[in-house]
Amino acid sequence: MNGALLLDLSKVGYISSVGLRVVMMAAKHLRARKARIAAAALQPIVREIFEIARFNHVVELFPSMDDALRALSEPALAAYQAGTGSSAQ
Amino acid sequence: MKRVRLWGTRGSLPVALTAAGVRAKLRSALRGASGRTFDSDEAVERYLDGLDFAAAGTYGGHTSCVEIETGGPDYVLCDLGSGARPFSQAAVMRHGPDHPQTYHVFLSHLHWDHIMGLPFFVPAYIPGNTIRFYGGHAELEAALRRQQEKPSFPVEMTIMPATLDFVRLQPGTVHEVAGMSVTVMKQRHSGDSYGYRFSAGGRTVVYTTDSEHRLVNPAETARFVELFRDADLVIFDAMYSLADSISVKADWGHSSNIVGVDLCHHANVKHLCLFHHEPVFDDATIDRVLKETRRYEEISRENAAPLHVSAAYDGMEIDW
Repeated sequence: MNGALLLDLSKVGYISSVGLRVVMMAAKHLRARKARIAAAALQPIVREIFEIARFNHVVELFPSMDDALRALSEPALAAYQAGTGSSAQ
Repeated sequence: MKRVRLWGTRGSLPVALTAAGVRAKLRSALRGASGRTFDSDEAVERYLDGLDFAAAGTYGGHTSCVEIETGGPDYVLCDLGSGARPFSQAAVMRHGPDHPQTYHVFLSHLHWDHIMGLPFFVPAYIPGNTIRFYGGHAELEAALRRQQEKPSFPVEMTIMPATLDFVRLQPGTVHEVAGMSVTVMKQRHSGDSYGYRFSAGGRTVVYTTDSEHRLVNPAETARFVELFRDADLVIFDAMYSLADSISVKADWGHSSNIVGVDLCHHANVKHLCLFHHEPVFDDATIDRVLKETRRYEEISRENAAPLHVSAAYDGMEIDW
């Protein structure tokens, strides 16, 4: 396990091509370290932009932070739920 | 400036619709026609008009060649990909061999897919015609002559009886050609490429293919926004997805539909035409890219004026 970067995009209402480029830079950096990059809780518009730009093939997308953390790291999920009071359904 | 006609719209390599591709279109159309009756050719045409372009037509497979109809006597072309062959046949059919014409040909660059139509360019074989080649590369004339030398082709350019002129253009300069004002801009591509802004009679067309946009240099982005400023039509290299163009295909010298929309919005362009299609894309894939691009235009518009988005196809005509 080489770690992972998870982006909580729940508060992001729009992302431009320049913003996507920053995500790509992070993805390249992480891939070189054999680490994963994921994004969670995308608003519908942001998810559409990711798909049109084919960034859904670059970044793992999850419906929620809980779903993402469950896939990436159980300890991180536990810590996240303890911090936010969310529960894994 | 009356019309733009696209004779070749495919990137990198000519492609052709296969028998399997035709059969898939027929299958789809026949399935959609199940239970209908067609009592006239008009009824058939109405049915076909209702189908997706990928089902009833094809984007085609000729490489880059675009004609700008100025309303004057001279012809103006951008690039001499394989689409230059059907263009040249149509031009000669229109005039016959006894009415000499002048052809102004602006070359984006000298890669093979943009010059491969020249050996089959019929007007070059007709005495009295003038073919004037414009481009930014020092090797302009040498590259065109080289592709027809043995053993690559049996007819060298010295055999062509038309008058052949070569005009080297400097980036950032403006020229008057065939009644149009032509602005030249250097672009990011292996060995460089050049984009052209054509203006006449209150209309502006920008031809910008084989041009990579890295999105890291605001000054470079601003230069393109100025080239595109208030254009009626921008013919734009949208060969790859944004993700591919800045990752696995970075430095391959091409751009994306997303960047095309963003630049055109910034520049208040009226019509973006997606061009230089990836040769592995079939018609359904290009249809899908077009629909997605129109959706992205809608999402990203904010306060910009609506931008019409189309996907170029061989034989497409854009009129004013």
